[in-house]
Amino acid sequence: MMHRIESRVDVQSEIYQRFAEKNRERLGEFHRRQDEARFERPQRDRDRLAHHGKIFVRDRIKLLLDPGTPFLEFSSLAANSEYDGDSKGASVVTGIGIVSGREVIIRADDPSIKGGAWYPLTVKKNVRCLDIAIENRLPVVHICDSAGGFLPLQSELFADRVSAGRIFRNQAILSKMGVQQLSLVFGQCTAGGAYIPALSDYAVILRGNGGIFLGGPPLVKAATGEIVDADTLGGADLHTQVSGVADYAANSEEEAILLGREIVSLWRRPDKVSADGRVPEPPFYDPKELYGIIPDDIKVQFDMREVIARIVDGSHFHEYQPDYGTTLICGYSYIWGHKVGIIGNNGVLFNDSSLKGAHFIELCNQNRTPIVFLQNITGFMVGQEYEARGICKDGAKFIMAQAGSSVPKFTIMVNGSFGAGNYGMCGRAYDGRFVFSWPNHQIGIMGAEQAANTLADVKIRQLERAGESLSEAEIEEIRIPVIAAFERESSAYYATSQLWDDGIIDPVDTRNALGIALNVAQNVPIEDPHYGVMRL
Amino acid sequence: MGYDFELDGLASLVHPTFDLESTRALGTIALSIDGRRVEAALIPGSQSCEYFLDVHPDLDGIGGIDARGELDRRERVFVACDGDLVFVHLRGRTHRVEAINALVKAQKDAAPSSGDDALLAPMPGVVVDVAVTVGTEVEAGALLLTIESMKLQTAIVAPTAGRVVELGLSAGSSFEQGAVLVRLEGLDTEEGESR
Amino acid sequence: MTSIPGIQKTLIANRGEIAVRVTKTLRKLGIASASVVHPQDADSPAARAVDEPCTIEGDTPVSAYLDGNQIIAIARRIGADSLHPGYGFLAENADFAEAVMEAGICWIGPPPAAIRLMGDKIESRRFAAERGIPLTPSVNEEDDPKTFAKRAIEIGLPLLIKASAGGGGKGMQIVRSKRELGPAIELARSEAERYFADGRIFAERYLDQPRHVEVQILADGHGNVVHLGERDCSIQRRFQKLIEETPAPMMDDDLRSRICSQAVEVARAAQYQNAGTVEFVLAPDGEFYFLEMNTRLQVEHPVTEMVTGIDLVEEQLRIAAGQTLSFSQNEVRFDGVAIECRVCAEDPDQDFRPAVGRLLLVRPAEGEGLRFDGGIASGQEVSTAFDPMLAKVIAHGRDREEAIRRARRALRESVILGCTTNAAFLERILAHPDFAAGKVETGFIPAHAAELGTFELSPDRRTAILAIAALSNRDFLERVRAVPEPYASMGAWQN
Repeated sequence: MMHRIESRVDVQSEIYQRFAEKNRERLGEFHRRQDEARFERPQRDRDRLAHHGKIFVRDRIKLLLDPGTPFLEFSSLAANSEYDGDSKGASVVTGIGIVSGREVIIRADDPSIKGGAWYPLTVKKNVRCLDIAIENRLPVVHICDSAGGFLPLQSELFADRVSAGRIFRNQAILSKMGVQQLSLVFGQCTAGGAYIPALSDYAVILRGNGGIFLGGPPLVKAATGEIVDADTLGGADLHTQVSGVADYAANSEEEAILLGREIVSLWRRPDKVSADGRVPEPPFYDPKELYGIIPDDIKVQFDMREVIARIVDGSHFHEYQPDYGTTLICGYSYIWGHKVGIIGNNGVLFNDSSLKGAHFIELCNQNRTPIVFLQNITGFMVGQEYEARGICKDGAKFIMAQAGSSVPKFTIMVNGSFGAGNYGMCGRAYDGRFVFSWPNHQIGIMGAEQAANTLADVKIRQLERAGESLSEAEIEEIRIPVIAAFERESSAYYATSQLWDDGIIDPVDTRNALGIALNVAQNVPIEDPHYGVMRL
Repeated sequence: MGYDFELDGLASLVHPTFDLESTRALGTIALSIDGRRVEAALIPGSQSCEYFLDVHPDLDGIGGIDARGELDRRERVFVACDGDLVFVHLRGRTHRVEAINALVKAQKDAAPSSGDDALLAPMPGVVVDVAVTVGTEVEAGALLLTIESMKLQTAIVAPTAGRVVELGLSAGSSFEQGAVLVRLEGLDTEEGESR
Repeated sequence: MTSIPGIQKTLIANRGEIAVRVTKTLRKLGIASASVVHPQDADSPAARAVDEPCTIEGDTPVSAYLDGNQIIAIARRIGADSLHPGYGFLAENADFAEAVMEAGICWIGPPPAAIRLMGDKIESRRFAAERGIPLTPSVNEEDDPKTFAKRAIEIGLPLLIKASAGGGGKGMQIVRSKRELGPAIELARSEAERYFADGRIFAERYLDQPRHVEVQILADGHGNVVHLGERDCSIQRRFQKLIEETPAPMMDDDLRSRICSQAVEVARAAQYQNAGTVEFVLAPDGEFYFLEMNTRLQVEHPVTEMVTGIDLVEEQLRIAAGQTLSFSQNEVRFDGVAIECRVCAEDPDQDFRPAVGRLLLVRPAEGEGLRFDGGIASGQEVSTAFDPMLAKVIAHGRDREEAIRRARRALRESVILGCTTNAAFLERILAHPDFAAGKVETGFIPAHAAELGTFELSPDRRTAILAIAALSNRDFLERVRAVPEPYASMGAWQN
């Protein structure tokens, strides 16, 4: 029987109240930005949608989902820092939901933004959600309603390895894996977009608004002089009666969605990898207390056990090596009944904490236990003493063990994620199944202050070599823009805009997000673990 | 997305809300009925079709304990189902509730109103027999004509009730795929099933 | 050996609740029972109640039960010595009665001559008029078709146009203005032809707010005629009775005894034998007029049985077997009040349109003073092929108030699932203050349509019913159960 974590948080304390106030403020901003991205559209665009009889993308998803079931949305604030903020949520809604009792990925174009045109980050978000589908063997329901690539930025979205072509490549890979896809064609799918329904196992097309063609009427006219209207060229009747590009025609979006639900209900349920689970139990400590635990300043330390206690079942935690390498907390717990290994930062990574982490990762692999990383890391310890002890090779072992893991990995950006600590703790580059961030999260090669000081030092030394010196004011003049740029680019909003994570979440939602993530990860068998060469 | 149930001619939206951890094990289901949250269980009684209904308003919801009203008690009910129909005998009255199949309803709602209905030849062939003449009123499913193609006879039946307004072929005529065999005109009938 | 000499085995030429009802008495008297059963009724309680169900065939179920020759052949084949026609179908067919008797089978009903006389409304009215029985003013079309309309108008409006051969409200039209007369005559005639293959019609004075009061008669073959009191059958819809009670409410003893003796007089004059009913209309001023005589056991006979303790079917059998009535008029005791409610497969909210369906549960109410005469069982299809009456709920009480209270409880507690019924509507009538006060008349239902209309369900009740419906709907439960954990427990959470 595991111990319940003994919380030392005093909810009456002044510091708790101060932190809580700060975090509620952060949360307020997060929700404001999220609501804006989700729902605020110019009236003109709303009107156009209504004119075409189109249901708003979020309502389409609501109709598709089983009533009373969750929806884990990915990257709701993608592209918030790009394109003057025009591409809300990167113009596409993606997430995991329950349709006819089955876990599916929903990928829904948002025609309320520039006709659903794909920006470069739209493509990235699309590719990412199909990566999630592949990694977790999740069927996909596409709600297709996109005008095609956003032409002014075509060079950024077309040709590269993970550009638009990757969407269709991923669709083909999914099909090859035997994972079903359904397309509901509610708008015109032109050019590349035509391949989404064509590469889907099932396609329903809407009479009227729905259309699928390689070249739309204007392109056809330009290319061959043929004058043809959209419906004749690639409408529902053509594709369901003549071409066979789509399978079912529907007369309304509601009908198409209901038909889609029936199609999904016929899909085979995946065989779940059996894991030693247990009956879920909510945390003993109220997750809302997380608001009073996360400090109001990135530089202030806090005990990661207090965070664990507000995420895991019953707040129960079996801590591994409680007295060794104490800046890294390792141990076993359960989240929504799934057994997990948890690795969380309680300070900078030293030699012993790196070795402890590497060892614990091996234990989890031996045990086929998924790992949750809780990041709050400024990096590995620097200094002559630590270099001499081989902090580089101990850190390498940690990274080697983590990167070579075969168990599913999940990362929560609880607070800071700086330097090589990001690598060891399964940053985005390490193919964790999911990365979610909290609104207070900051990320970068180093902190803004350190970066400003480093850059100021470089400048001072350059000037010193020329025999000049800088006044305090001149130093500040160098520092301030650096700090501003770093702060902007290290914020959670910038990170999520670039899809460095799968979305910012409210800390209290961490448990459910991980519960869903762990559940879908069970669709894929865990391979036998093996690692590269550990520098001993 | 929810499920429609029709009672006394009014449709109601019912869907499970779940989110009561492990209540399902006890046979209780959390429901939203026209936006109102309740927890309900039907416990079988000793006689055929006899149950005891436990229905409680969600006390966390608006109204609190004062909102209990007629709910929050255990009552004997008799319930029997016939397909999509549910008959409920509660407190001396029998109620008939119909579960609406949303897809069927959506397809019906969206179907173009039966105006002019042309029946096209599914394949090339020869007319074997014509069962109607122009002006004949037919019910849905009535035989209109029999065609033969590839040594196989196919009965062409009326998809809906209507009146034959065009009949270009007689026994022995041959036709191509897609040819108009019969054209029906919808009738303005309002014969509802009384079930 | 049965308790009635000469009657060993009776064939019931009927179906439904009356077949079940007759069987009960046959069983009590030790008489073997048989009945004709159309395949559509093969699983009905009527078919299961008798010792010997005999299959009868026909183009339609109704035509099978009307096929006298086939029925007589069956009676002969199975060696039935007697035949009970129930009500409806062939019960008032004199030719059939004659044929039965000619076949050497005891006819448990009145003599054919009496049936013939009373079966023809015009003839029976003429007969009554000759004997000074009060009649509403009327004129026959066939006396002089050309002047029929004119003569009708002379009676005075409002008028009722009726089929001579009619019954059950078929072919009946009310005329309140001159302009309505022409179409009403046409309609009555065409309905008369359609339902009775007899287009003869007549017009009679229509009384406003009339009551329908009838008297139960028993007459043996030895000249004894008694009445078993009157019944009020004023609560009607579409000219068909819905609620009947005895004794008639708001009626003084003098009027009661005058009506009853008048009825006995009619029966005696007609040389009537067996059970019969003399029907009157009773005007608000206390005047009553002879309407017709029904030469059969009535649907509503149980109310009379409950207050008199007399088994009318047993008396029918005894009379048919030639026995003398075992009691005299002053030996008949009347105890308390009985009310019968006809539970029908129909929708009172949709103008009493017949309802159909498969009966899923039939569970009669039980308790002191209750009787449930039904011929229905779970699994049975209710179709429009037959009369929509499913069952009769009869309640007896020491006084009217108790009878009403018991009838209301019986209507609430009797469960019939699978088909829309008028049970709640009947209960609303019983609950109506005017009904409680005995202010009944044949226009009661239309006059109180607003108060008798469906009351709206309270939001709580609606919620409870919808919850039950959801919890018992297979598709709904399948969809709920299809949602796996942990998603079900998470509910509609969204990040």
